[in-house]
Amino acid sequence: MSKNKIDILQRALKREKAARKEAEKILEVRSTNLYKTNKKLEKLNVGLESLLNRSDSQLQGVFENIVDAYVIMDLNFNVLKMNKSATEMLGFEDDKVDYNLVKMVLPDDYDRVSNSFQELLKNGVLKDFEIKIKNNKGKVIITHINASIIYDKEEPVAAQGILRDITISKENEIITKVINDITQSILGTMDIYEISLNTTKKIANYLKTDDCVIYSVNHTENQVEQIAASGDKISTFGDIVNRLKFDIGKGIVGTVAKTGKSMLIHDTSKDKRYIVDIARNYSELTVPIIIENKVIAVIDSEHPNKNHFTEVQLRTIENIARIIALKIKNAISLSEKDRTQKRLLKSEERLRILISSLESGILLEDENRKIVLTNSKFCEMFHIPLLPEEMVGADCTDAAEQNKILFKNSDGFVKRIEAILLKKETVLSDELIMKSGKVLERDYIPLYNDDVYRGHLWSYKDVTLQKKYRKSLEAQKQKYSNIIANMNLGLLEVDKNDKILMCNNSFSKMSGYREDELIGKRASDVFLDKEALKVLQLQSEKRIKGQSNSYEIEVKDKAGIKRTWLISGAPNYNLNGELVGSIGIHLDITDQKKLQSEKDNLVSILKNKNEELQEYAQIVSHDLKSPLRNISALSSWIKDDNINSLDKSSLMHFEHLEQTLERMEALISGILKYSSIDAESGQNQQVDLNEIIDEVIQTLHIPDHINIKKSKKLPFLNGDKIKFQQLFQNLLNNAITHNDKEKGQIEIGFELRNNQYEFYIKDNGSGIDKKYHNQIFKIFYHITKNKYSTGIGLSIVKKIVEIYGGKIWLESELGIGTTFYFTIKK
Amino acid sequence: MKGVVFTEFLEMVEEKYGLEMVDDIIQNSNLPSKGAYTAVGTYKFSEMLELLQNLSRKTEISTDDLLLVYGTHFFDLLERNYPEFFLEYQDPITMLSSIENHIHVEVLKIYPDAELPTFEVVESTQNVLIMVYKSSRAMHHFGLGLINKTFEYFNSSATVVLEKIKQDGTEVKFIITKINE
Repeated sequence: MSKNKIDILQRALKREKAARKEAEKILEVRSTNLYKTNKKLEKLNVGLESLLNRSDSQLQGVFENIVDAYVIMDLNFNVLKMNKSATEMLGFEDDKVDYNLVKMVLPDDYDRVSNSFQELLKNGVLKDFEIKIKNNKGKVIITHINASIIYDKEEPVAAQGILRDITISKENEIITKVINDITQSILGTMDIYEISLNTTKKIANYLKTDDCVIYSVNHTENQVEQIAASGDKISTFGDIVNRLKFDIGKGIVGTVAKTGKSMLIHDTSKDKRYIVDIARNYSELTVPIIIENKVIAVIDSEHPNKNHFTEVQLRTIENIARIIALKIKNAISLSEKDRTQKRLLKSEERLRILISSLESGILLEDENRKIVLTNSKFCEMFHIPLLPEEMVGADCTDAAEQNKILFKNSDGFVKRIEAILLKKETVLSDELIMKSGKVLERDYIPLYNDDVYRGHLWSYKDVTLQKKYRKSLEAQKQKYSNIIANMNLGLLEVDKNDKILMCNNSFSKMSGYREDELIGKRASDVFLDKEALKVLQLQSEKRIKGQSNSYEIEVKDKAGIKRTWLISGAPNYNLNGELVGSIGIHLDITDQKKLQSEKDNLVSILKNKNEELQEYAQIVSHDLKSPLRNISALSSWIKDDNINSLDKSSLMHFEHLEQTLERMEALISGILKYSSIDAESGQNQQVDLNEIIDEVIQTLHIPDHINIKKSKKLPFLNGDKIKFQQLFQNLLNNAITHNDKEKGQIEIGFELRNNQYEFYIKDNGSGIDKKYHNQIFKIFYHITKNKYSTGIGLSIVKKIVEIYGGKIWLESELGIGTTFYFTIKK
Repeated sequence: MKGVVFTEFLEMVEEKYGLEMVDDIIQNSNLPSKGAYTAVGTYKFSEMLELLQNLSRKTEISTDDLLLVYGTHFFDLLERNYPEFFLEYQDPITMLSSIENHIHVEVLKIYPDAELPTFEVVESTQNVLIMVYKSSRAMHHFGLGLINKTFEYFNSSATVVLEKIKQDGTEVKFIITKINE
């Protein structure tokens, strides 16, 4: 190797050595440092451990003896460790138990507990967790829990917690809150209803019921009255209607009101005093509100379950009662004052309305003659154009002077007022006549208060009408007195016992007795015999029933003569509507009766005669008919027997004979008919004339060249169908037979005139000469010596028309035609 | 500068140019340490500078290129001694962009007095990384070498553009674009 190379290597080696030494030095320094650091750490560790141990044992001691309950459980809620306090609180005998804390949770709280546990696991701590639990002995307590997770190698393995029993403090919290709430809510109001309502609602809430009522206690009326109940709906203003009321001493509430001692009942079925309302409530809590040693109100609460209320609640309500006592008292007295005030205002108002609407004019003046009060009637009477309100305070000193012109005696008016005011004594019913004719009645009433003159009242009543009525009444009385005195009818007034009270002149005349002879005597005794008495008794009964009627009675007058009187009697009542007797109007109808009986006689004679006549007519015609028939038969036989040997003129004679016989027969029948028509026979019914006409047309043989028409629909008539038939038949028959024209026209019609039907039958026949118009209606009168006309037809028509109260006449022109008119009453 | 930089450098020189060259550059430098370096020691940067300049004169290769080669060489040391860093990353760009925040932080934990450059990431996408290199030592080509080797480690390649922000090389922008095959 060259020296150069050796040098190079040597230098390189030297460098390596130096490098190595340096490295070693560095390492050594580092080692020493490391060692030192290590040593330090060790020392620290030891310190920490001892610290830990110390704290641990201290903690242990603390945890063992801490007042608060300390529990360690696994993550499934199984108890791992408990301290003494926990053992006691949770109701165990010792701390060595195998128990799952979930059993202490109430079902309603499961969710809450589970959520909070999740939170605990997530955050590692759980603070201020309050929950109600049921401990091992079944006691329900409210606990406050602070918990944290215990980790092992950063994994949660258990949970530990400190528990505090806050049951009582919670309860106290609630009580304080209730009391605070109540005091606050009643602070702002003096309204007794509002105070009571708020209080009942809050108490009901606190006691966990919906039934709480506050009653006021009225010792003067010995009554307990409901003020408000928690179930009330808020009312707008004023009093509630139908408040529960009952006597002090009745029921639990009444008892408490009386004794002033609160009551807590766990089972009302065992207490006799309990009054059952709608449903039975087994628990009741009643507390009096007392101030100045008097019970002024009662708080009462009920619940359907037994043993619902606790002693603690009772004491709380008693506290509340004490606190609100003064407030309630003030509010009650305020509401009473209010009520009284309201009543006063109401009566004042009523008075005001009364006065303002009085029919009398009222003027109330004070001692200085200034108007205090007046009404619109007064202003009206005195023509004052102001409203009553506007007049208050006005001065009346010159009023009399101002108003005197309204009155007839103006000066007298003023003087009288002056005199009255001077004396200041009551003056009633002073009459004042106004110029307008009105009459006023005035009262003056001075007003004294404790003998001090305080003003006076003028009251004016318009009595104009009253006076008029009185006058009118007087006049009427006069009038009727005159009538009674002077009428031709006899007036007799008797009492209930038929004793005569009064009679008029006419009666005296009728009876022959003077009034003084009759008064006090019994009417029936004076005038009647036994028979007549019976009649009177019947009528009296009717009178008593209050009926008025007329009757005839036989009496004996003073002279002993029998007379017949028509009496119209009516009951007489007094002012109270009681029957006090009767008043009778008497008419002497003796003469009339005589006449009547005579007439009756005549009528019956007439009737008989009529009947006889009819009979006669029937017999005669019958008897006449019979030979007629014979003759007819005989003549026809003869004709038939000798028909061959008879010549023309003989046959003609026979024909004549037959016709004459027929005529005679018709005549006899006609007479019979005529005599048999009378008003009484026959039916009375509604007859349709149109039907009648049609029937008649059917019956009659109407030649073709004749036309019968009705101008309009004929009316209905009341009467006998047969008679009407007869009437139209005869008229139509005449019209037909006497028609000489090529085309015969018969028209039937009617008009309504003066409440009568005026019928007409018009034909265009041969007409009738005027000179015969009156006579054709006479029986047997006939103008034409026609074989078919008997001459009776029209007289029958006339008779029928007259039976129905009508008239018959005709108009005719020879050769032109005839119109028969007749009227029938509607 | 940590001793390991010197020891590795002299080993590389010895490997590539022989012990004579090592001896030469040391003798020609005025080194307070007299050229005796241990990996766990700490020496002045100026010594490295002198050694580099002497080597550059002797080999007629620019200092930059020498540093590039050295960087490439140094990568193997890092790979050998600190494999856990490499296991943390799946791609070169992510790794390079976390030099500042992760790797150098760990380095400082162990060698609190290490002088390290700062890399500020301007842009970092899947294929592009733009970093600004700041260092008083201006050893940007050393960094370049490391960057190239990093891509090689991940079986990848990239084009790297250096932009001198400061002319003396104390502030350089690296624009690295990954080449996708």
